[in-house]
Amino acid sequence: MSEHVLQVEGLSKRYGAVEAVEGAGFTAGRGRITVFLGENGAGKTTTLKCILGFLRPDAGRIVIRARRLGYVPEHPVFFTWLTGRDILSLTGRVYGIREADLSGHVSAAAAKLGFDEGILTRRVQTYSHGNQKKFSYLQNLIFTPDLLIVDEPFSALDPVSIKRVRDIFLELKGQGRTAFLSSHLISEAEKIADDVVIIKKGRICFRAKLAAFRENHVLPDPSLEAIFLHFAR
Amino acid sequence: MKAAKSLYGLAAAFLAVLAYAGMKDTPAAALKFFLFLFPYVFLLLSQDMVRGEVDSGSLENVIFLRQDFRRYLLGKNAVIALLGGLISFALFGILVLASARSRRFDLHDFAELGAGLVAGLYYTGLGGFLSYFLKAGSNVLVIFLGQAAVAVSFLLSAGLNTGFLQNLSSGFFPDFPSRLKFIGFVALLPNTVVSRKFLPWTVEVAGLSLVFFWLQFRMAARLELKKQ
Repeated sequence: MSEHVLQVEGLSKRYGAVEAVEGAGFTAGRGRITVFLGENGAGKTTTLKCILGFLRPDAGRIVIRARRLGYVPEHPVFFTWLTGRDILSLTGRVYGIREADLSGHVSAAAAKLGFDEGILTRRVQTYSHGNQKKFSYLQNLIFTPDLLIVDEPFSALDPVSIKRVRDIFLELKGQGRTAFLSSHLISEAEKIADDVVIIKKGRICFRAKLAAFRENHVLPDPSLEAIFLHFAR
Repeated sequence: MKAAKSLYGLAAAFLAVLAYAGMKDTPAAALKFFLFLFPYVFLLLSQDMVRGEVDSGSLENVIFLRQDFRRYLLGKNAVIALLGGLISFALFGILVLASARSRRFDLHDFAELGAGLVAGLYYTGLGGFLSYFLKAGSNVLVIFLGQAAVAVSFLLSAGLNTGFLQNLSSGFFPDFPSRLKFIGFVALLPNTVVSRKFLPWTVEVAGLSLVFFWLQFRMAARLELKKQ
């Protein structure tokens, strides 16, 4: 079995005259947390959406070797007519979780996230932004994805929830699962990142295993912020 | 939610028309009304099939159904066709039973039901196609407006259209232009084929349905979820 759960080769995507992503290539290893960094408009979200099949790449190849693919968008939007409980029930059924087991899965995941199960009877669109984000994590955690793709993992979350979400990524990693995180919050990402991919103006300008890169002493300051500022600007 | 409420309102109005016709006239008259009107059930179900979900971003949720969102959108056509068919069969059964006392059972009713189902499929295809461009219930509204415009134009220009109106009343179209005109008419008001004299034209409606399903297939294949 390949060690690369996600493999992107020569990915290009153009919007009219604008080349949003140009020949991007990188991988995400099994049981690792890969952080995807870039300035605003660098092509992070376009890349993510190509990986998820929401956008059609103009060129390139995307291989996902995960049976269960999870996704937490930056601003989650759910089917407006469904309550939180409905969505979890539907997700559980799709992933073969028995109704009897579902509440256990939900409670366990809700406890990890600090999510109030009492609001699950309401339609998700009535939740606060923070709770919508947590609910999106909750939806993913009940079926424990092999590859979890997250766009801005810490946005809309309070500091306590950020810590909880970080712990969840580390737990998934401990289970041999893969997380691919596109983030602006370098300080938070640094605490959990194994691998880093940096995109600049649609091109991948840096990709490395963080520990190995630091050992080579390429930069005097080995912080992720310094790496980002050096390569992305 | 507004769209859903208007859908319930129209469904209630549809049932009220049938009940009124059944009580004021006979259940057989209600059956006639039903056979002409039920293709609209499919049309109403097709409102806001695509654009609303695409623009809101909620279509991304389809990933949790372990589906490609394009296949999900095309699958909606099948669900609507099935749902519309079930509702139509149920109402048809009730009306046939209710009218059994006042009239003899007529096999033509089934032929008209079949033609109506084809017209319903056409509405599903057309409604779905238009919903790639038009938000909320405006894909349905634009069809109603088109039909109303045709009705008004016929009323206002009856003198100029005597030939076509005579063809319509006789069900016979002697030359190619008149047939072409009728195909255009049927494309806007496919319920026409439910009428016995137009039953053979059901084939045209079926063909047009396939065209719109194919167009939907093309649209879905090119669709991207850009908005977040």
